[in-house]
Amino acid sequence: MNRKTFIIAMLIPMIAILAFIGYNYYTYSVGEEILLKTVPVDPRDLFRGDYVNLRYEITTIDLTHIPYTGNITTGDNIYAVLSKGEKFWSITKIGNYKPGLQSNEVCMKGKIISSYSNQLMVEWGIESYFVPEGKGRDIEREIRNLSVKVAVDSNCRAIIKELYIKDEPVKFGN
Amino acid sequence: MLSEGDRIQKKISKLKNRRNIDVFKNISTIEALKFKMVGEMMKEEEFYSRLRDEIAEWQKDGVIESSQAEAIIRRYGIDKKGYKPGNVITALSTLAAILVGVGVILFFASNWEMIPDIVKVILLLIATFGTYYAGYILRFEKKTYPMAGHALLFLGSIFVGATIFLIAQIFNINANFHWLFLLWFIVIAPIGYMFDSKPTVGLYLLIFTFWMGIFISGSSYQSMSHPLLLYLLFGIALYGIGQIHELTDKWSRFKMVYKGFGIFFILISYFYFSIWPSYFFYSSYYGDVKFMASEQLLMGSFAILAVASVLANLIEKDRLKSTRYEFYVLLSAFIGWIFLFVINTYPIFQQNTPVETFLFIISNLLLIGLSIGTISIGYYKNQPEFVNTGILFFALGVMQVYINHLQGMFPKGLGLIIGGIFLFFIASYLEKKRRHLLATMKDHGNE
Repeated sequence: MNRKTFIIAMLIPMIAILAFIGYNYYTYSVGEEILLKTVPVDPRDLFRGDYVNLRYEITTIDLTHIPYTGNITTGDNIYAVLSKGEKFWSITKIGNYKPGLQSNEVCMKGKIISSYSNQLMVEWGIESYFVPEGKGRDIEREIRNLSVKVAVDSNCRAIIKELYIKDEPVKFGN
Repeated sequence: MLSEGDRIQKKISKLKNRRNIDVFKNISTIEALKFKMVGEMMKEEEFYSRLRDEIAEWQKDGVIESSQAEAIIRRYGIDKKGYKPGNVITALSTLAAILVGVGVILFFASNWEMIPDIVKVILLLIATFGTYYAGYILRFEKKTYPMAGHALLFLGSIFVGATIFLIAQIFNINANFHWLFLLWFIVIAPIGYMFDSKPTVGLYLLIFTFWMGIFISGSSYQSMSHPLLLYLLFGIALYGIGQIHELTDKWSRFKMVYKGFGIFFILISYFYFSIWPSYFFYSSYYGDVKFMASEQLLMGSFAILAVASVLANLIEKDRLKSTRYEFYVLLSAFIGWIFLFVINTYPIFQQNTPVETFLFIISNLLLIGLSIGTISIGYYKNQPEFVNTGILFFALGVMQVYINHLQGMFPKGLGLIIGGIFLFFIASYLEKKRRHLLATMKDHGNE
């Protein structure tokens, strides 16, 4: 192997890693910030240390109250339109395709992980919040006072920006 | 067994001890002799290297059969020529790389809060690309420590994963996000080939396997037969890919990685199906196993590879005896998969005793047959790993038949006693047979 081939080989991880950072940073920096209400638990992921497993109010969707379009079944991707309530954002409608939005709305893309009767359980890709080792329990104790600031981009992709306990951002010395 | 260095030293000592020792008074004469002998050894190594390449060519062109090729290899001891110490060093270096890699992953995974995120990313990027560069220099450019370079290149591939997971952690991407593993796989797969790194190829196969597991578990399924139907087909496809590697000059050294993973997935899947051949053995759910569109795409791709592999073996089977056994194993595994896919996907069978007995007999025959086929491949291809794997699954198959089906035929205590004695004899017989097979293979190697 010569130096040229080595450089070509190194371009593969370099491009992939930088693209991965850019893809996430785009949503993080330009996405519209919304506030969501949560309910956490605390498992452990071998690869990435401690994290809080988050469950949102928007995780469960009651189809008797939320209007929907299209055929919605388990395993499908869905798009939800969210609008701001008094403090937190909530779902106003769902469907199979990316929706058109009003000025005070955002959309989020998720996956239906289970459905029973008229209840849907949806994963939005923002269910893990990483914390320093051992700090997950502290957050869990504040379960009732927890909310999450999420950035949502125009492609309906969401990324967690900050965790709040009693409206105060959670800091770990970073 | 003496190493080449020891042999040189021994010859020099012999010459020194002779009466004409004064010839060697001048140290440069000894050096010249050393040089000559090293030169001869190089020629010898070149000869073996050339012969090894030629054997591969002859096999490919159908001039000799696989068994004849193995006889030539054994006659010249090519597989043993000076490679053993290297293998140990490679294994130790790879183990060291795994330890360092896992250490780095766990270290960063503990969410080192004192360091800002951007610094963590820069540190990992430096570690990843620095490791790759050091590996490249040692193995390819200066060639001073090729084994250590090899291990560093493998470590670099582990660091790629650590970097991806750290970035995911910074952006709080879901812990079970399967795309992270897929990204890791996509990045290191070409690197494994470019660096000619067998451990990296093994690592990316593991990552792909793990990715499939997470990917499937994210969707709805009723049982383990859902992923195992996919893994079984994946195993056949992998074995076929291993055979394709065998036909190429450049990448034939990767064949055993693919074949090893392939045969393991085939046998482990059939072991599961020998216990629960159909969904109604474990579930009251009366319906079918559903596959998502993306899973169907995966399964379709593996099925195409599996069919191509079976057909290629069908064409080759008359020429080479060892390939004949590979054909039998792949064909049986694939026919068995079709059967299992149909009975798990479409509820054609009603649950009743005759049907259960029928399914139990078919699935266990498949497991036992495939285990024996694997042993035969190992024997004819001179690969003890296959013999051991085949015997292991044969023993597991016999044990599960006894535990799940035969034990209940006797009164409780007596059943256990008879079973214990029965299993003891089976185990002793299998171990004896295994040792005999390995000894036979070794004897052929020493001839």
